[in-house]
Amino acid sequence: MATLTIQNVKKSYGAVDVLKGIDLELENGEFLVLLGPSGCGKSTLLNMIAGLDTITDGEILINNKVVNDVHPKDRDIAMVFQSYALYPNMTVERNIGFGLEMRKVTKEDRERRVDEAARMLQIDHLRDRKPAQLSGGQRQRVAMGRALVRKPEIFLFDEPLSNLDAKLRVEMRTEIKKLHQRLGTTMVYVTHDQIEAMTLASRIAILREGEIQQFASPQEVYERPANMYVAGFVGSPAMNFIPATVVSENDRLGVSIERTARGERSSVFLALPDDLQSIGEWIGREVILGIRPETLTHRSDAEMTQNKRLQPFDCQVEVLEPTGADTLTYIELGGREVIARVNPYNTSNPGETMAFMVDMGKASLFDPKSEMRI
Amino acid sequence: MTNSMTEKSLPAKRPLADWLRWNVAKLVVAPTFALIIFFVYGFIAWTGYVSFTKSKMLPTYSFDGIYQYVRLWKMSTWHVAMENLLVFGGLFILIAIVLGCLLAVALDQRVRAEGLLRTVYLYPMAISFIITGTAWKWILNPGLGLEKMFHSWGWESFSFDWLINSDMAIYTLVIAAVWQSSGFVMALFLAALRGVDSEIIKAAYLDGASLSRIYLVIILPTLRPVFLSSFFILAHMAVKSFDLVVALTGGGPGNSSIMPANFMYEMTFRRNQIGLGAASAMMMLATVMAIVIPYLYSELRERKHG
Repeated sequence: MATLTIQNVKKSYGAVDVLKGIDLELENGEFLVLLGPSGCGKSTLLNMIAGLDTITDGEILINNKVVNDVHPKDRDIAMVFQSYALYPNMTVERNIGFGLEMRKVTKEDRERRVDEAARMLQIDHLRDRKPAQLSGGQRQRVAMGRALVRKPEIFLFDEPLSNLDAKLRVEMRTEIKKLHQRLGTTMVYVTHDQIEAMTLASRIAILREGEIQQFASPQEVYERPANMYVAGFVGSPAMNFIPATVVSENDRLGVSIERTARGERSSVFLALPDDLQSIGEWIGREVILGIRPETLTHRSDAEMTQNKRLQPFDCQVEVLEPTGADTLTYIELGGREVIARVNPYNTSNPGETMAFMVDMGKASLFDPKSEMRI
Repeated sequence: MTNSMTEKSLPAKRPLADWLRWNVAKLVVAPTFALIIFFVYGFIAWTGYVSFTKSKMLPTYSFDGIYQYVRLWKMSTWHVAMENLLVFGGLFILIAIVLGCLLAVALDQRVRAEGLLRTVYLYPMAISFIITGTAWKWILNPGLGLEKMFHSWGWESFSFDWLINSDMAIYTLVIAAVWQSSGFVMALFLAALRGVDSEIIKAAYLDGASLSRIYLVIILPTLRPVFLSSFFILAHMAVKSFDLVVALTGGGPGNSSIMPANFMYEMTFRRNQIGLGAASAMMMLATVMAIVIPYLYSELRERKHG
């Protein structure tokens, strides 16, 4: 268990700045996910924490000790790689025990710990096999066993699930989560898959072009995204962005949105919740309204009387996409395609006008120029 | 009339075009295949037959059993040639592989001007053994090369006379052949080293292995196929070596550095002993087969398993 502090860390290759000043602080036992598209610098940052890459500027501290110049093997970290990086000529048992062997752990002690790790990952029956004789999921387990057996202060994962098929990926994701709950070790996990990030993380750092966009808990990132980039990256289907104008009606601030209902073009007023009533300076100006598909659904009068933040509007349905649990209903708001998640039994046919309600309490407003949250 | 004719001729034409399309690959390969059957395998068979006759200057075709083989193995020169093959082949293969491997590992450290160094090491391969032999003959000639140079620099006691020493002449062949081939082995190893997953090396680093440990325990064992192919390429070069001997030592002093190929040439074309030459050629073929067949066997078996 360890704390990890990253202070203003920069990395450049010649004139190219890959990381432009990263600040992160992790408590004991946290699960940090570095999330971002390929080329955002997340793997570089992980390699720097591991000591496999040099740091251009800034400091990395493990347990409040600067480790910039500490050799990787002395940082007490273990890493699981995307390609598993198993030693092809060694058996599973030796693969797992190799780190202990290099650290001159006695043979009995080594065998006991390898045994323990293998049993924990349910690979004890594969101990005498070579990596080439294992399936992808089994290799993944061996790679994790190799990290596990050393009982490191920090675990690093570099896109460990991206080479697995979809079903196995979900299984291993749960496995990693269980592992974290059982061991309570600090973990840093790199991925470009937002679902992995949401399910695993205690905190997510979203990176884009070498800069942190938001560093917060998954729920916070999901509900209160710091900017439109984060809002669009996290969540599937992605958040709807609707151009709207801030207006005042009956002493309440709200947004006015263009839409088509019953064959006519008109605008609809959606009142903003109390915590957004203070944005008076935006009256008459354009904003981007961000709405998650699941907060936009068919109208239910019973729910509307209970929750005052639910706002009604009618709109013409364009396309329906049934997914089983919900039907994704495409409508057009403010000239943009918008997705609503509707119960399959409450949908209207394409071309018909349907009654919707939207939970404005869960809506986000963005500045269209800076794309930052208002 | 014309209509019915074209209708008839079309289906008649198609089978030929189709036949051509299906068989074009076989047609292209057929001439070389026939030539190889005749000139390679045909003449192997002919040599094999002649080795069982008492052919002298001209081939005769009356079968005489293993007379030539008995004669061959009674000749001390042949024994010298086979011993030389053993010494030369063993040392040449071992040193070339070890040196090539070390060079490849050194170049794998992302040194500066790697492209240039790689070319420098690889270039000897582009030179024929005749040139290599001649150049090294000059370098090793006591009155002309290294020894003369050190003497003229004032190191009068320096002596390096392997080329004219009948006990050591065979080692000069090893020096020249290693000089020529180790760069090639290096290129083979370097390509394989570059194919090793860099994440494996990173993982080994984190596991606390030193650089020499990483190479010895993790990387080199994965290069087993490269070791094997280098061994077989160098081994058949060793068995066939002829021109290097001709250019560097001429088989001398005396017969001390003669190799089986030189023996075969000497007997067949200089001393009018075609039957004996053919027998020695068949012994060389057997040597190559003894190396190649296990290799092919293991390769094919692995592919079946894989």
